[in-house]
Parts: sequence; C-alpha cells; structure tokens
Amino acid sequence: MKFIDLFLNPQAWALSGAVVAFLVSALGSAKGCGIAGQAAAGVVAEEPSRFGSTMILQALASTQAIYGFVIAFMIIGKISADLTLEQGISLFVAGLPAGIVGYVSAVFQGKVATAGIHLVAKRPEAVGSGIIYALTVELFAILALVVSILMVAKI
Amino acid sequence: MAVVKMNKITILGLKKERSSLLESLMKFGVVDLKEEKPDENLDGIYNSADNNEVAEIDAVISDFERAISILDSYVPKKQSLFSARKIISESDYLNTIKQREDILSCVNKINDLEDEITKIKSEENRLKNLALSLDPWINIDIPLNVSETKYTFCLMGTIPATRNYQDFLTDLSQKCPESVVLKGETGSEHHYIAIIAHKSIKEEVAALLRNWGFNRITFNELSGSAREGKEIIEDNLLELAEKRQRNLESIRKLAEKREEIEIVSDGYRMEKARIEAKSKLLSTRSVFVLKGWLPKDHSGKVTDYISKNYFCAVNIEEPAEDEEFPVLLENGPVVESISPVINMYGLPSSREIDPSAITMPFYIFFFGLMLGDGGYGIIIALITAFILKKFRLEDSTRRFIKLLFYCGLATIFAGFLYGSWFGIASLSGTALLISPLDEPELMMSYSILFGIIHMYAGMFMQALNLIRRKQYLDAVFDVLFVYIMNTGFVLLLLPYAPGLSIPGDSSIVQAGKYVFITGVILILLTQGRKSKNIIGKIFGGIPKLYDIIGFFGDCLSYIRILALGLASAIIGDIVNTLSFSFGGMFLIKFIFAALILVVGHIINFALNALGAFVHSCRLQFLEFFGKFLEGGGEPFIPFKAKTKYIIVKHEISKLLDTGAKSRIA
Repeated sequence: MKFIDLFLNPQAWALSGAVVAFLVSALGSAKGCGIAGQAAAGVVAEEPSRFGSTMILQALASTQAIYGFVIAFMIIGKISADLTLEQGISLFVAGLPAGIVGYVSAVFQGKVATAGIHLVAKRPEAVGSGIIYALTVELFAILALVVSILMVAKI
Repeated sequence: MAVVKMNKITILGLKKERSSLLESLMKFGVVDLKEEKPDENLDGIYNSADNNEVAEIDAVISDFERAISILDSYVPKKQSLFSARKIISESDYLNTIKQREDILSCVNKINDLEDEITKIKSEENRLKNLALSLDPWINIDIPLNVSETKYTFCLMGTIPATRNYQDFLTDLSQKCPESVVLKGETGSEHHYIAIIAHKSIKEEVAALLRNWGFNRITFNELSGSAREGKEIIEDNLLELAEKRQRNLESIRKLAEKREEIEIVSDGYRMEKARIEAKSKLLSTRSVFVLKGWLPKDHSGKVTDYISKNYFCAVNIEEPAEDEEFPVLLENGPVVESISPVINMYGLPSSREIDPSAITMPFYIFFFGLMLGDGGYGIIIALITAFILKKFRLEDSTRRFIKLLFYCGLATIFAGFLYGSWFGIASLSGTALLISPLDEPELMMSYSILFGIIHMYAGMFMQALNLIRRKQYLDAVFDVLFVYIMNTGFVLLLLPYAPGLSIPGDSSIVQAGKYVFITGVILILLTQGRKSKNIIGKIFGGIPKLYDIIGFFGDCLSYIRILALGLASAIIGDIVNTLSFSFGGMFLIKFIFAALILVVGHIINFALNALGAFVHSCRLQFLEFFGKFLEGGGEPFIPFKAKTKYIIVKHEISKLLDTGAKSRIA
C-alpha cells in the first residue's frame, strides 16, 4: 500500500474524525481544568472551606472532553469493512465541530472559571454567578456536540 | 408559597431595661433590627457602640475555641458525617450558664496545661540534643566541666577527621611530652579528644593545637563525666515525660466538661450578639429607640409580650405602599427544598411573587432529563433518603439533601420516559416517551418544547406580577401579545424542527403565519405606548421585535437537555460494552467486568450529576428568571443567637409557634 492510498481509505478517514473529536477537545479540557485547578489550589490554601465551590468551578471545563469522547465513540461505532469513501470523509468532517469548538470553549471556560474562583475567594456567596459565567461559554460546545451527533447519525 | 408580609416595629424604652429587652427579642429571634445612624445636628443622641466590650468577649470566645480544639486533638470526639447543633432546653442552658465561672477556669486550665506541654516538649528536645552531643565523649572518663586542677589544665574539643590521628599523637608527644590525650569517638567529620597537660606548657600546647585545627568545646551545665551526664539527662527526660503524661491525663479528665464548655462558649456568643445589637440602636442618656422589621403574624404576640413586661412604647405599622421590606420566603415542606437554588440567584424583591413553587418542578424535571438515567436516580434517591432519615441535619443542609432527593425521584421518572437504566441498551425499548439514543433529532425537538413551556411559564409569572401591581394593560400588551407573536413564530418554524417532518404547507404552519403576523402587528401597535413623542409611539415597537431573536436563542439553549442526557446515556453504554469485552477465564472476566462497571458508572454518575445540577440552575437563572424576576430583595436576617454548638429552645419563642410551614431565613 502506498502512502497516497491512505487518502482513499474510508476507515482511515473515519478514524481521523474520531481522533480529532476526542484529541482536540480533550486537549482543551486538560488546559481549561489545569489553569482553573491552579487558581483553586491557591484559594484553598488561604480558605480551606472553599474547596467545594472551587472544585465545581474547576470541573466545569471537563465536559468538552466528554463530548469529544461521545462523538469519537459514535464515529468508531460506525466504522465497518463496507464503509464507502464518502461516508469515511463525512465521518471525519462530523468529528470536527465537537473537537475544534470543544477546544476553544474548554480553554476559555477554564479562564472564566479561574476568574470565578477568584470571585469566590473574595465573596463565597457569589459562586452561583461564577458558575453561570462559565456555563455561558459551554453553550457553544454543547451546540457543537449536537451538530456532530446529528451529522454522525445521518451517515 | 409566598414572601412573608413584614411590619415595622418601633420600640421606645428605658435604657436600664435595654439589655433585658434585647435579650427577650433575641430569644424570640424574629426581629430584623435596622441600623440607625444618629443625626449629627442633635446633641446627646448616639449609637452606644462599645468596641472594648466586643473585643473582650472575642478574646474569651477565642480562649474557648482554643480549649475546644485542644480537646479535639487529645480526645477526639466522634464526628458524624453531618454535624448539627445540639438542641437543649432553656432550663438546661441556664443551669449550665450558672457554672460559668467554673467552666471559665476549666478553659483556662486546659489552655495552661497545653502551654506547659508545649514547654515540656521543647525542653525534651533540648535535652535529647544535649544527650546526642555527649555520645562522642562517652569513653572519656573525666569530668566534663573541670578545665583545670592545681598543676594541669584540660582542654576538650575536636580536630578535623581529615587529619591523621596517629600523626597528631606523635607530633604532640614530640613537642609537648608533658601531656596526655584521651580519645573519644571518631565521627565522620571530627576526632573527639581531651588533652590534659601541665600548666607550664600551656602556650606550646595551644600553638600545636591551633596547627592541627583544634576546636574547643565546653560543657558548662553538666558536672561529672559524659556517662554520668547522660544518665542525669535521661533521668530528667523520664521526669518530663511523666509530667507531660500527668498534664495529658488532666486534660483528658477535663474533657468530660466539653459539653459545658461548648454551651458556655455559645453563651458568650449570644452576649456578643446582644452587644453588637446595642450598637444599632439610638440612645440618649436615659432612653433608647429600636427600629426593625418583623413578620406580620408575629407582631401581635411580640408586642403583647414586650409591653406587658417592659415599661416602653411599642408601635407597629405596615410598610408604605412602595416601601421595600426584608424578604423572607415561606414554603411548604416540599417546595422549601428549592431554597438553595433561589438563594444562589438572590431573593426576589419584597413586592414580587415568590418564585419557589413554580421553579421547583421545572428544576427537578430538567435535572432528571439531563442526568437521564433511572438507575442513577434510584441511587440518589436511596442515599439522600437514608441521610434524611438517619441524621439530624441543620436546616440548610437538610433542604439541600431534600432537593437532591426530589432530583433523584425526577431522574427515576426520566428513566421511565427514556427507558434508560444504568445505560443498558436493551432496555431502551421500554421508553414511555422517547429513547434519545435512537432518535436524537426528535429528542432535540422535545428539549426545545420543554424549554418553550418553561419560558411561557416564566412569562406567565411576569403577567401575574403585573396584575399584582394592577398594571392590567401591561399584562396584556407585554405578555399576552408576546405569547401570540412567539407562538406564531414557533409554529412557523415547525417544518425545520428536527425529527418531526412536518411539511411546510401543512395547515398548522399556515395558521402559524397568521398568528405570527397578528402578534407582530399587535406588538408594533402597543410597544411604543410609553414613548413621549409621536415618532417614538409609532416606531417604538420595532426594537421589541428583536426580542424574537432572543427567544430563538433561548430555545436553542435548551438543547443542552438533549446533549447532557445523551452524554450520560452514551457513556453508560460504553462502560457496559467495555466491561463485557474481556476474554479469558470466567473469574478474571467477572472481576474485570465488575471493576469496570462500578468505577465507570461512578465516574459517569458523578460528572453528569454535577453537570445536570449546574445546567439546571443555569436554565432557571437565565432563561426562566430572566423573564420575570426583578430580584434584589434584602434578606430578612432576624436578630438571634449566632451559636456554634447548641440551639437553645427558649420558652418565650414557643409563644410564636405556628403551623408546619417552614421559613427560610
């Protein structure tokens, strides 16, 4: 098999879709949770009682990876021996929204959550507002997930 | 079901009765004191704040806290997972408070004992180090503190281990023959030696030792040889350990008084609250005035009691028509559980309808749909029911656990709707409504439908609020007409709804067109009504049309119901598939399957329950409350004892006992 044949291999296309969906979004979640977690640890160092609320804020950015995981799994479930090239490419494309939008959304959600954690450090009762700000960023990842699901379901 | 009506209370009384009257009010615990600032133009009226008094009490309270934490570290108390303050009767409380002086001395004694233990510990450390430093000299059998005799002198010290000891001896015997060297141990860095020499060659010895890098060490506090010194130190250590043990025993004994200590410390906390309350009142030399809010249905009884027992004037009045009062929500045992969510957002204003009752069903329903797995619902419901039954909880904790219990029930309900139980795929046929995994597109339409119902309920609340304020026309123009426009809009978009496949020329869509146009015209005609000039009146309705975009965006926001429900269902399915994909021996297969099932489902459950909780909150706060809730109500914070360990059931507060309805303060 020549290297160029890979581009005509539907299974390879579909697998790349799964890779993009999970890999890219999980990178984003890792980054988002990472920066929020650092801030949370700093706050809890001073105020141990804030663990609960800061933990929730930190965990928010992890959902994008879950969405990516779901899409990757759905795509892998579609891969079979009699996949056509069009279907393979379509599966690849279907993985893009959840992966790429998930990345950006997770990184920025992590940043907003970090700001929310600082907010909680000063005013613990404001944890609700901090969560809401972060959830606004999540909507786009959710829409991307739905778009990806609908696309995979159509193939 | 409601925001509790408040009355304003004003009490004018004698200063000598002030403390006692404040104590009675504190026992009632239903008056929210308003802080009064003195008028600077008037002489002789002042806030009687006494910061010294507060600081003194704070010092006492921190002594108590220290004593209690000392008891915690030596005599750990069995802590249940959910600790609640103990409820004690007023007579028990008073009996304990009578021994206040004894308890105070107990506390001081505990703190002193702990101070002593700290001192003993540092002394022990010092002695242990000293004993260690003696080790290298243990073979040298001369007194350590004797530096000279009649004819000889003695030097103790070290020379670096890098120098050869034998060479040193030869050197010494050649240059200063009238000397003796006693050798201690050779450590990794030093040779430990003692040199005894005749006084006549002191200079020579000193010069030689300098050459060899000698470093003198003196022992001032010890007499006798190193061995004897060590024995003495060990005796001392034993004695100290015994003393420490004795102190520990005394602290353990004092731990019996722990309960009393806690009660008295809360007694001081109450006193502190009373002193702080004093600073909110205005006083002259002989009278004081107190202003505050209290629930309307309690005002009669409180007034009766105060005017019967004190020489004072009490005035109760209702708030003026547009006056805001502190907000206290009163709800039945089911609805009150939503209060953590409401409190997170902030209270409604005092003139609004309490949103608890309508928020509660939507909240738990959306939670259920988003978690979406009946099996997880059963787990939540069982765990929370167990906690509620088994533990006595503080009110706020109890409400939260209760909310989770109802969320669990709603999730079970969602399990029936979806046919989803622990992600087992073969059960999806039992779905009563829809199986989201099989028909995600249709589920999307359902999500939006639930969202529209939710938002329409919010707009209905807005209408109720307007009607309550007697703005009937506004209710028609701002709510009814928007209903018409939005409904038309929704019908018009039906052909695009995923999974429904309604043709664009069907009669319902055609009807939607006319409804939508009617709504738009009505909005255009009425929304400019508040504008002053004629142009504003004509074109004022156009910006309102943009609201339809907002409405559309809000609808899409409800897709998260589908997304989160799908995510938990799919991951549950993945866990199940993975767990049965192992080959090999039956036992290994079984162990792996069980491990993956348990761990996988726990992770899926935890992540998605958290997601469902916060996203359901968000739907309430933005899409729902945004439609009608003004918010900004000041919470009603009654003047009562802020205690840490106990709740005293005061006799006079029983006068106020009303029905079963709970109030969220």
